[in-house]
Amino acid sequence: MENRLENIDSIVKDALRNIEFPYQAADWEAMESRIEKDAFLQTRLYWLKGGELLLMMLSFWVLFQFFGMTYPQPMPYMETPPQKLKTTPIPPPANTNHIVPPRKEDILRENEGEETEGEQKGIEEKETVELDFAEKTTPKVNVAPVVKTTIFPETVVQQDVEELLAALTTESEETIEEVPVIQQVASLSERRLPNKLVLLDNHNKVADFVANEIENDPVPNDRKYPLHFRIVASPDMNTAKSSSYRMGMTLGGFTSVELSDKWQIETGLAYSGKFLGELPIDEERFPNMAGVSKDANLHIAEIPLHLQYTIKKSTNWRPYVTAGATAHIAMFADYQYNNGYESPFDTQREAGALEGGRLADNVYATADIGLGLERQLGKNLHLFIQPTVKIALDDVGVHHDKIHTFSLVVGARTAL
Amino acid sequence: MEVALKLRKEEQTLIEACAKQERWAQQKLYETYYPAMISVCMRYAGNADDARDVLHEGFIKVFRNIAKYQPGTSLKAWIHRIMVNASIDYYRKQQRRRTEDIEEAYGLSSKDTDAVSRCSEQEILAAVQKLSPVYRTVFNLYAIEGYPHKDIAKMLGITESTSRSNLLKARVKLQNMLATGFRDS
Repeated sequence: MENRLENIDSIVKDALRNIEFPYQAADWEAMESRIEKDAFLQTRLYWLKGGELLLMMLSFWVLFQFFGMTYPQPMPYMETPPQKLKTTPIPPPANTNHIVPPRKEDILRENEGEETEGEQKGIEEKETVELDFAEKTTPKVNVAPVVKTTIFPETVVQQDVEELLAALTTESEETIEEVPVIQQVASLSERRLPNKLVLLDNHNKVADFVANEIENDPVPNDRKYPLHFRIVASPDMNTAKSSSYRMGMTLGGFTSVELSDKWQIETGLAYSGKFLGELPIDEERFPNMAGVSKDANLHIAEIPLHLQYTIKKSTNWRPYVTAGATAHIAMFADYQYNNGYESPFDTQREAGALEGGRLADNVYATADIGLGLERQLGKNLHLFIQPTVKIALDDVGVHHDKIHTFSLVVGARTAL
Repeated sequence: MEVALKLRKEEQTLIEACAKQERWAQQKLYETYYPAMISVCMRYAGNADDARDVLHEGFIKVFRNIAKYQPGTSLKAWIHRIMVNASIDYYRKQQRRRTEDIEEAYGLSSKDTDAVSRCSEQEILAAVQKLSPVYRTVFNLYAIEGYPHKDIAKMLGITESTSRSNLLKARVKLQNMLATGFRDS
């Protein structure tokens, strides 16, 4: 009796395992209203849209700050003029000695690789199972050339290939001899072979599997140190000697390399605009300018070197800590003295590094520390926010201003 | 061959779009897996309306967790698993206990299994749906999904012995219904 009862298991299983019902369009309408009522999905949607809107607003604000900048106007005359006076306002200095720096796009364009023949050709060109690797290689795919006389090159574990072929023969009617792409299978790296589960489930032919894996393998097989690229923007709060803060902004691109699962090292290039106002003059050095203040507009190139530590990795979130140092080079500098004063220096001494000024006067370093939170939005897109403090280790300019900065860095990261 | 390549890319694009809550992608996913998944829900639910509710609950869970799907694994199997879980949740909400006269059921168990094996898929499905929720769920999880009694007991919050007993009763009733129904027809 038990056997007869157990037989019914297999009868019912065989009957119902692969049964399917035709699609009903009316059911989708009910599903759609169900989705709209689901608070969780709606909340996530609002978060996504809100985050995008916030990022857009921040980008517009940063751009507005950059393009909306104007030179500060000099202060009016004092009633008791000291020794040095200027009767007419100082016009902005003529831009005669500027050395136009290379644009970032030019620098990046030099480092771009050319599109290869393999990337330009579409899938439609594949008609035969046997692929000609000599004609369709791409620089991104690390595939050993197929040697027709060798079935199993060293890059493939023979056991994996045999298991794959054995599984295929039990699932499909094709025999090993009928599958002409053993060499292509053998040319795949070990890393690609675990995808055989997808192959078996979808009942794809070996050729489809192989062609897809080779054609669409954008990541080198054995990249030991994965590369990432971040684009960053931040509003800055800068201070130097005075108690008040002045706003600035930073824009840049950083590249990082993963040293391990938790550690990354990062460097890059950024532009930072620092617009400091009412900085006091050093009265010990310039006793004749007591009570005079200056406005300093500095256009700075920043080259950071940071170590990043991932505190915890979860599915969608990644909190991290970043610390390191940044080299700042004041490319262009403009000082405006208030109270109608002229500069106590000659023009070149106050100029930026690219304006003919001394490099030693226009370079300074900061010690940086930041705490970041990253959110994964897509397969290869992460957004992050990272408050950062930069403490000046030395000063900049002929007035020896030490500029400390607090930045609210936001941006996006992608893997290369 | 080219179709297979395109299908895989389309699936990846579809998953990414679903993760971004794109409605067209959600509808496409729903349409693609509706035929297979509604049959799973039909096995666990007592009627078509309940099966549809279970299906929709399952798809809500799919859309919520689509970002957690691991590429390279079977999407159909992943969705199937979620549907089974949704069905178990449905069972827990609809749980009723019935007592059956197992002696009477055993007395009818000497039917010819050949008669049962000649039943159509629709008849078998209808017979499964006629089982009580507890028998139906245990039978589905053991006989079709392949879970051991230990796992079934954990999922349903019952003991292993209860799971075995329910399975035995489900088999007896199924065999009785199918044999009787075939003979009558």
